Amino acid sequence: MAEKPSVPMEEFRMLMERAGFRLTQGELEHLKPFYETALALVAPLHAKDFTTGEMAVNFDAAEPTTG
Amino acid sequence: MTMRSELHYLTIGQAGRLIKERKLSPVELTRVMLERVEKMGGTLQTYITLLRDEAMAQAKAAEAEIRRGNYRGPLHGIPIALKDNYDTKDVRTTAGSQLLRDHVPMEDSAVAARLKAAGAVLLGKLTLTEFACGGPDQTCGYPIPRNPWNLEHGAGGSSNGSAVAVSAGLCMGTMATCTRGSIRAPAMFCNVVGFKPTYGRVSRHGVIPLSWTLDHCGPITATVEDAAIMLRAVAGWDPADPTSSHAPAPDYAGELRTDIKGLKIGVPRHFFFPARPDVQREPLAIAEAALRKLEELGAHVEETRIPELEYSDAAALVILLGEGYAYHQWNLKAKPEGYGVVNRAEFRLASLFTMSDYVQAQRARNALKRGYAKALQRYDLIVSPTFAIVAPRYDAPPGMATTKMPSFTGPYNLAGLPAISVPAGFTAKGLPSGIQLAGRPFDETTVLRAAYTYEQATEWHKRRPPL
Repeated sequence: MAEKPSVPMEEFRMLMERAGFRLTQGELEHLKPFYETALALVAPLHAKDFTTGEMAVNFDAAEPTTG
Repeated sequence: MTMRSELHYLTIGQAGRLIKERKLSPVELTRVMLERVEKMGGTLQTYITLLRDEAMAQAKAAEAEIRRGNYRGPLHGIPIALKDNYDTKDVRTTAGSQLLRDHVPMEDSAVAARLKAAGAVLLGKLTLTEFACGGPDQTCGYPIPRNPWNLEHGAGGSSNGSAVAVSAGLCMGTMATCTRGSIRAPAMFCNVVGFKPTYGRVSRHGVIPLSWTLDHCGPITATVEDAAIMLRAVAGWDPADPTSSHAPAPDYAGELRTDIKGLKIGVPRHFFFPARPDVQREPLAIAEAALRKLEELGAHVEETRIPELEYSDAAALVILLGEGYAYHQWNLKAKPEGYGVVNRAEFRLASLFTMSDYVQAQRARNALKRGYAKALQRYDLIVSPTFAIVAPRYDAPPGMATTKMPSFTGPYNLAGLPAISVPAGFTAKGLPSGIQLAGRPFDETTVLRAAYTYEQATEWHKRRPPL
């Protein structure tokens, strides 16, 4: 896991408001450490180019998905 | 002849054979199970809704039908239960949420309908963590089950009620759901079998979702044979679920045999046997002993590498919470008090994941699928410990998806591969542990055969909790 970043409280409040949540100071203080942990957990996903994992829409004619 | 006092610990296979031969009455069996639930239910906290009258009526109907010569199969007259996120017609379905405490579906989920068609008797609906997400949370307002092997411990999440009920003889089998390990982990914690089949094998129609691309339906049972019986009853294409597969579902129980000679097993030790402070040594040592047993039984065991596993925890976290947030976003903003503290926090923080987080998570997942596909060209099975720790204490802080502990079960939800947990031993303090066997897509038969062979060569599944 990458090093846990420190996100300023005001920045965190702004991010939550932009997502549609107007939280109390207590709620923000409770949530911020989890967000910082999540950022560290997710960071490795952006450190690699998953060339074998390209996203695509696949069809399998032998296996229709509807009746 | 089985004593009445032992009926609650019959397996589905045993009870089914006795019922078929008319040596066991479904009415008597159901009555014994209901008495057992009444006696133990208060301590173990497994049922949200107990269907006493309905179950007895179903048992009487099954008995009459069998007497007339209309035996439907190995689940006919068998008392089972469902995790409370499967819709059941006219029966409250809460998903462990205050938002759904009065929710009464107008139709059965596909699984409930298929179990009904197989003649199973529904005893009731079982406890789970809120919306089948995360670990137990006291703030959700529902009972949290205790582990029958040690009442000071819990049974994890999310299908904790299902695993405890099977382990304690409070039902003969359940259908549970699994998004990152919710079938296999509680099953391991309670010394029972948990089987997550291939994505698409079992219809999810009528199951309250957590994460559309990770959710799976599967059985929790006392034995591998019972898992095979339950899976056969519910597997197969369903026009109501666009993700369900047309792949034929064989008679899994009929194909069970104790033979794994020549089977090739790969063990990615770099991921499943890490030296980390948050991974306990005992489950790993128990899995090592199980691997030696599989070798003794004739399998070829080799160490292998699936490098893409390194990204599985991050990918599962983003996909699970991201899809969960997409489903819950409106209620989360309009009725936040309807959520427990843990899920409210986790879904809120999921709102901050970016588009590139989700895309990278899906790309990592595709890479993982390819990594497994490559490994499974060489190996028939991948085997590992089921979970990094044994059952946590009942009063432990609620588990969160943002935990740093590696998930040994999550990779198979990402890859959609069939994976089973079977009992494999006990820690020095008497808590159960297990091994996980995973196989190729839609090859549940090989997974079940290997699990059955191991189970029949060991005694772990025969132990009963000290209740």
